Amino acid sequence: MSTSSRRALGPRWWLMRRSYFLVFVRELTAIFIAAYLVILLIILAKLGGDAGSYEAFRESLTSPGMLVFGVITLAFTLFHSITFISLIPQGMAIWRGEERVHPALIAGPGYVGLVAVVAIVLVAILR
Amino acid sequence: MANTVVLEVFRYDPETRESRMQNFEVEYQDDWVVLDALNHIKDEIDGSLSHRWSCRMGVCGSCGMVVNGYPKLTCSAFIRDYLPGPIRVEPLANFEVERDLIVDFDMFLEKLQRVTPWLVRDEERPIEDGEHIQTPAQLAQYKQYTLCINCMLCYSACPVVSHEPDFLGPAALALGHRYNLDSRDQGTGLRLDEMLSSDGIWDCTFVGACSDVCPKHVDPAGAIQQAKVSGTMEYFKSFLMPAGSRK
Amino acid sequence: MKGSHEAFWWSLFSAGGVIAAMLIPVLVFVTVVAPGFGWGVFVDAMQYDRIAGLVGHQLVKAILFVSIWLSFFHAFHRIRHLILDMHVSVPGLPLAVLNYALATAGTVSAALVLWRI
Repeated sequence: MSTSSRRALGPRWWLMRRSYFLVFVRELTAIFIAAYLVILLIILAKLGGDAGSYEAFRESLTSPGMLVFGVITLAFTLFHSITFISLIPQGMAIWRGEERVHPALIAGPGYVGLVAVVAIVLVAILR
Repeated sequence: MANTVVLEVFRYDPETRESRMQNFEVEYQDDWVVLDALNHIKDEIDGSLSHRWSCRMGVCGSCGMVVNGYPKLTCSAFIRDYLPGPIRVEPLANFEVERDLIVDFDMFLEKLQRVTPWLVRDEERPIEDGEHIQTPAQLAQYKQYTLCINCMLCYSACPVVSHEPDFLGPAALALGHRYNLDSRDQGTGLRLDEMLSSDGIWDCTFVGACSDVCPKHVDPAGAIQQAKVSGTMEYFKSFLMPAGSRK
Repeated sequence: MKGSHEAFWWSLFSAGGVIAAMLIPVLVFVTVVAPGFGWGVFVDAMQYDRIAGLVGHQLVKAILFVSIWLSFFHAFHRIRHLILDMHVSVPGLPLAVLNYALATAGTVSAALVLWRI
């Protein structure tokens, strides 16, 4: 058999349907998480040095370009949060007798946790 | 004035190895499904059209095809939902095509066999001891995963099956999980060798298209994610308690 | 057997996924977005003395280290699978080695950087 009759979805499968595209966006969030972690590392590195170096870096973080990057990164990282928490229940089968615990009872506490962590960080930073 | 709809049907000749799309204008009844239109084409217009079907009611899993780019059981795809047409009908993706709308599903059967999809016992229970007793709660644990009709729509939808032909795939892994969850079964260790291999659950990136297209709501994506969790616990257990690992 | 250590990387991915989901957005907001918009209270909050004081606590350092470690491994595990899902034809083992090496480099950097504060 010289040529295969198998019809694969192909490398641009993620463009074929909206649901596939959203999965692709979900996977892209990892790039933004990694990129932000690098910036966080630099902030922490500057904190270990003198105030002048830190303040200069802080200034550079307020440029228009950084703001655009920040807003886009915030959108992508929030998309990760929402999709990741909403998918946790599918990987967990928790049973009460013959009924499976409703997914919302698992994802719900996840979202509560997200809000709680946001609150804790804001309080810690702003206090 | 009769209602007609155009079907764009994929044709494949295994002798010439040529494929083409052929258009048919079909007079349809309001309650027709795509399968009715295909049967009408074969009976009244072009007898050479080849397609699989059987029960006409969504339980046999024979009539799976790609309708307007989406894997469907054609017996459950109502013409009225695709109007005004045209309706594009193609064979399942990711399988070798035998002829027209018929695919060679040996690939699936081979993968299914690898997950040992039957009850495994260390020792068979003698007839005199009666049947295995199972509570409703124990049955509930795995019942959802018994509903698979092997229609293979999930394989057609899965991008990982598409680019990793050796990936065991959604239905086979969900069925392996079904037996692992069955309280009567003692074959988990046997199955995990396949399911935790590199062609097993770890190829899955949780796209979830399999669960989207499944006509019986089996949720193979969920089964695979649950298998990842239990597989991970097995993995760490085998380091911490080498003697007490899976049977 | 091939791929039998995937469970290990997946466990880091899923733990890191939870942590990154909870923590990263608010950190992005506080460190980049809010100061970028010039919101005074956040600009003041990020001053050297205040932040160095906060991060100087051993507990905060520990939390930051674990969070950055697991978030790096979460992100890189997903990046590895993104590359595979894009059908980029890279041999699997070298991709995995490079991928987790980068995550490890990030983790080690976090340890060094936090040590110095």
